[in-house]
Amino acid sequence: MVTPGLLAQFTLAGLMIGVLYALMALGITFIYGVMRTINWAMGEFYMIGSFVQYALVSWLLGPDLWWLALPVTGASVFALGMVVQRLLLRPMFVNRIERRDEYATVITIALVLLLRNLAAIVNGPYQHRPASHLPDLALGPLDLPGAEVAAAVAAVVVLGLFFLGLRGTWLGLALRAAAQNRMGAQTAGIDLLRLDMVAFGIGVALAALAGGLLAPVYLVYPTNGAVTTTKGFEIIVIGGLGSIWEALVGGLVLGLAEALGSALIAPAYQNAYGFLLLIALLLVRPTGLFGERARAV
Amino acid sequence: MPSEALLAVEGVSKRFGGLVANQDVTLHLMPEEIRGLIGPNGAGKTTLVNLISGEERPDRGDVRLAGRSLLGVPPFRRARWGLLRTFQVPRLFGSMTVRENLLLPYLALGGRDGREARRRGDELLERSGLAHLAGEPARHLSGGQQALLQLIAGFICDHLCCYLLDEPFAGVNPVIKETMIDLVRQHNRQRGTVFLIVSHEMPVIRELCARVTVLAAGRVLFEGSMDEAARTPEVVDAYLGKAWAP
Repeated sequence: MVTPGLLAQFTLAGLMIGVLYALMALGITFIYGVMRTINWAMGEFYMIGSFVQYALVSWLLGPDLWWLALPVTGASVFALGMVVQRLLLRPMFVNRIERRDEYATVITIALVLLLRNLAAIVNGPYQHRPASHLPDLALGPLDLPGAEVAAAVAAVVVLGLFFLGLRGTWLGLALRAAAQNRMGAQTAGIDLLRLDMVAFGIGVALAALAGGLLAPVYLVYPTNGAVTTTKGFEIIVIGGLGSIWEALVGGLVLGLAEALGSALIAPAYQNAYGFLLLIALLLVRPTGLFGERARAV
Repeated sequence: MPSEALLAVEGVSKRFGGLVANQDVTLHLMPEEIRGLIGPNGAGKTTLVNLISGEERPDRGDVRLAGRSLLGVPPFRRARWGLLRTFQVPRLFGSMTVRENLLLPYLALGGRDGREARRRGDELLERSGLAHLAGEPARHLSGGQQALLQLIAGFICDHLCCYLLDEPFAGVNPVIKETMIDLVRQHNRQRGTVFLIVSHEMPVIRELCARVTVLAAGRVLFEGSMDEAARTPEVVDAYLGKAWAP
């Protein structure tokens, strides 16, 4: 029997997870917005983020300093992303390659296989769960797991910082300009090759932060990026590819769908509810919730 | 005096498949000069501007700014060296505000002081009559206002030394056109900025430019004053028509 209290608990849990999904989708949208290419290896950066966070919390800093491990995770994957972009993706902008989107698809899918298998070699088939000392939070009749509450709060903080950075800094101005009009940005004197590197780093760092924050919920193992990549792209289809708000709303909708599906139908099919929603939405609104046929970022 | 030219285009050629867009074009812009670049549609004017600004690469020939070759230098770096341009269809950032559209080139071209950028931007907006639109998204502007905004986006930069204007007055109402002419003249006088202006508006070209270069079928047909051009039969036949003959 589903009581109102239980329903509220599931709704809240859905929204909390949704914020974390939004981080992932934001990374995809952000990279696409600036570089006009899709990074299919997003989930692998999520995976790396979860491993780095796990390693920091388990061996270096301890569970109480998880909040300190998080920026280290983000910064290290940011740096890794810049290197990957410089070595693998930049050549397509330098050498005037035709069909850039196909080039990027091939390269980033190859990257998926490489990173996943590297992780399997280093880690083996084992799953890990980072320890957490955070006490559960009692909100009226609701019991919320401490690690999840902390993750959702941290994700909101990350989203907030991202928005502020995009609105209030010179780098943010340059990134917004490039997302709107790459040629115009170049004419204005922006070095797009360097800006792309930074954008890719920021995008994959968002995925890594999602990985680090979701590690206690979805565990840490070499292929844990696969499910989250799918969710990231589900959100993109639900919300539409292009804007930041759409990624955020899409993330919340997906989180809610999973939580309410679990509560009202059966928790075993958690990963299926998003797809059901997706199929229903594609039948009703093929362009996504806010979609138009063509869109400026 | 080619060695003294600020911008030197030397024997530049460019083909697109079988189409010869520019053939052996040579053009020297002297310091403090405002040069008109005129000619019939399809004469290769925009291609020449693209070759100078770096959007296109010449098949042959060289482009030099203050003696430094620009071959292989990407457009953003040319911009940082003071060579800026505008486009026939303004390349603005539609959902950013008018003010942000000005801040961007200032900061991208090496300005570090955000407050100074703002002060200059507001001053330029004031002078060009766009001040009341500073906080509006650029896409709300009329076509003429967008052309004006695109023009002053170059003026905000300190080290602008050579400004290429591709059809800056097309579809612009007379009031804004007058503002644009004033701004061009002002920057030319006060800061010695060199201009290369592509336009079909002969009265404006005659007013602004002591010398014009006429392109036809990708080649330089004539170089000299507007009055000489109007007396040259080839130019009259190829482009100007009888109306401009004295």
